[in-house]
Amino acid sequence: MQYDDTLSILIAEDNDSDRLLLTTLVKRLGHQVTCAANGQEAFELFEKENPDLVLLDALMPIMDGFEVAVRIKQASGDHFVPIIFLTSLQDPDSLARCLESGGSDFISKPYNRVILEAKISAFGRMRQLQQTILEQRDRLAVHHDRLVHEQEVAKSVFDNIAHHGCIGLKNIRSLVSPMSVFNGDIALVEKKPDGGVYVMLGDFTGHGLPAAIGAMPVSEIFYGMTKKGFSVQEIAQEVNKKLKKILPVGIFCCAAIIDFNFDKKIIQVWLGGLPSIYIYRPNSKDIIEVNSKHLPMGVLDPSRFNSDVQVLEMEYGDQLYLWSDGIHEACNRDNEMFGSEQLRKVFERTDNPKNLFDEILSAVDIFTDGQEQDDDYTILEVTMVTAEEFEQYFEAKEAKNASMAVVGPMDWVLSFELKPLTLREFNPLPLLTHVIMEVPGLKPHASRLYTIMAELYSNALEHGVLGISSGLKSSSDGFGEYYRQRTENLAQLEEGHVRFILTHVPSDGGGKLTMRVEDTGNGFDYEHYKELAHKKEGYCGRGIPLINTMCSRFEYSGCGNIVEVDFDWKFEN
Amino acid sequence: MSNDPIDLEVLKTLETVMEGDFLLLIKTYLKDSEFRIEELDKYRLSADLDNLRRAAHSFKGSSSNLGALSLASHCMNLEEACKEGDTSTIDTILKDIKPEYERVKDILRTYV
Repeated sequence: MQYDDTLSILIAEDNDSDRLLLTTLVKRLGHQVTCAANGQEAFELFEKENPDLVLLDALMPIMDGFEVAVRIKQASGDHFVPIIFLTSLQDPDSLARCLESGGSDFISKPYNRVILEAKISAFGRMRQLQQTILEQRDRLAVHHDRLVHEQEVAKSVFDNIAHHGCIGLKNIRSLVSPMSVFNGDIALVEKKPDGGVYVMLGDFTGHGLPAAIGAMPVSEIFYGMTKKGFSVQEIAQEVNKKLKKILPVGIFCCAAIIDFNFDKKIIQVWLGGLPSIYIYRPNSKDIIEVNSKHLPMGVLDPSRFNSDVQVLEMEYGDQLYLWSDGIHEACNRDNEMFGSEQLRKVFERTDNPKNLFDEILSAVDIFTDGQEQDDDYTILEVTMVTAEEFEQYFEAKEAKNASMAVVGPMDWVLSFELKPLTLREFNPLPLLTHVIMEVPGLKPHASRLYTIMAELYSNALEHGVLGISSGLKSSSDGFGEYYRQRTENLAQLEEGHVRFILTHVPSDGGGKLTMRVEDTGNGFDYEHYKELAHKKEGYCGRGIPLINTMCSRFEYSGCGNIVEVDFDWKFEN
Repeated sequence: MSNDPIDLEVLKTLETVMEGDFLLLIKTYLKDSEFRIEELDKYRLSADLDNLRRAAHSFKGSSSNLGALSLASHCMNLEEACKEGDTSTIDTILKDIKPEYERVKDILRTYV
């Protein structure tokens, strides 16, 4: 450490000869000296000269040494200014008073040159050390403040990106326990353009900031792709690809993405590395466990990644539970884990399934008994409700967000033909939705438009080009077979196409979007179908009754391989 | 402790340390001491024991620094007696202090 031996020293001594002697001694040691003959003068000089060290006689006229010491201590605050009392006082009480008033040491009379030099030098170094510590403390404080500020800014950016979307709706409950400012668990919920909802839960290796960083791209992909109408498989594929690319080896994300279709009362589950999902059926008290079928995201190369989903039915009122292993691995004081058996018991003994969410949390609370936990834990509960109920939750929110901008494409025709290779690999709905959403004022109708297009496209592709019978879907067993045939036929598709022709014209206070979808299939007896159209069909058939209610015109032509609908819309206030 | 009024070793050291200021130190001590002696008389007359003690304390310090150890010792006894309020002892010591100071002064004058 650099140490400048020269100190500026204040000497306060009322006795002239002692002051002269001491001043000379201290100057001979190479220090700069200022002198005061009484206490008041000493304090005034202290404030003016700001000395490094003070040699202070205890008994002085006007203001005695004890009072000067107290004032110097007050005035110097954090800065350490050693005060050495000059005294021939002997009694312990007086010496104690010297220390109480802020003195660091004593030098007694007669002065001894060697002792004087040793003490001045020791306190000079101590002061230097204290100075260094203060500077480091101040630097540390500045650094710490900046770090906290940066974290707060980062946190607000993080929260904007990895927000919880639609969490908080009546049928979706969640708890994300933060271990620190940043959380390694993410829970994301977003409504699909067709009215259903996607729920995603992710648990990154580790916790805190390193774990939270991965959550940002995941959230962006999830929300972006969900809004554009991509499928669960496509989102899973994309999230895995991104995480594989950005995460270091050994860091990955256990995750689940679930597609809730409230119309068809089915869910599609992609589950990789998270604990089994529970579906609880309040009527039968059955617990269906859905096990993880995949490795976590960010582990496999995109070419080896498996995006297959499990398709399950849920009745209205059925409750689905999705959690990170922080729940199962919550520890008590004896380091025992809560475990899946105890979790199952909570379900088995419940009297009121509506309280299950709280019962799980309180069971974990009672078990852990305030013990600090090592991992984040997150739990989501989603209840299957009717599409109408679910839609209600969004209406107010959507009305708020509706854009009133009127700049954009109003009169246009778009023709888009999908050939076999494209039909095999590509989902055209996000692209088409994106184009349609450019029409000013049409955004609030996105959900209905997506539903119409999705229905028309799946009819054209599945019943038209692929030639799969719609009758298969009338039984729940048939669903599996239906999806099996779809996958198989699609993989072997060599010829045929689906063509979209979308025409938009502005009208008074809104516009008219005409959607024409042609396919190369064999069509069907649509005249006969008209007679049946009044029948309420479930999730079988071509979903036509539903579309009929949304469109002002609905017409089949050709051999039933061409369908054209008009969607009239008005600006919403 | 010798009976010498001043430890000459101490004076020799001071002479080295103070260099050109040695004479100034002696003069200052003598001037200061005359003032203290006056103070002792004044405060004894007014029976101001607190200030008497302070004067004794100050005189003790400067005398010890000059090597006038016997005088310093008298001053210390006086300081103690003041603290205890023992006036008869105070008077006895005061009587001893003056001739002792005269002996110190005689030696120091040889330097001036």
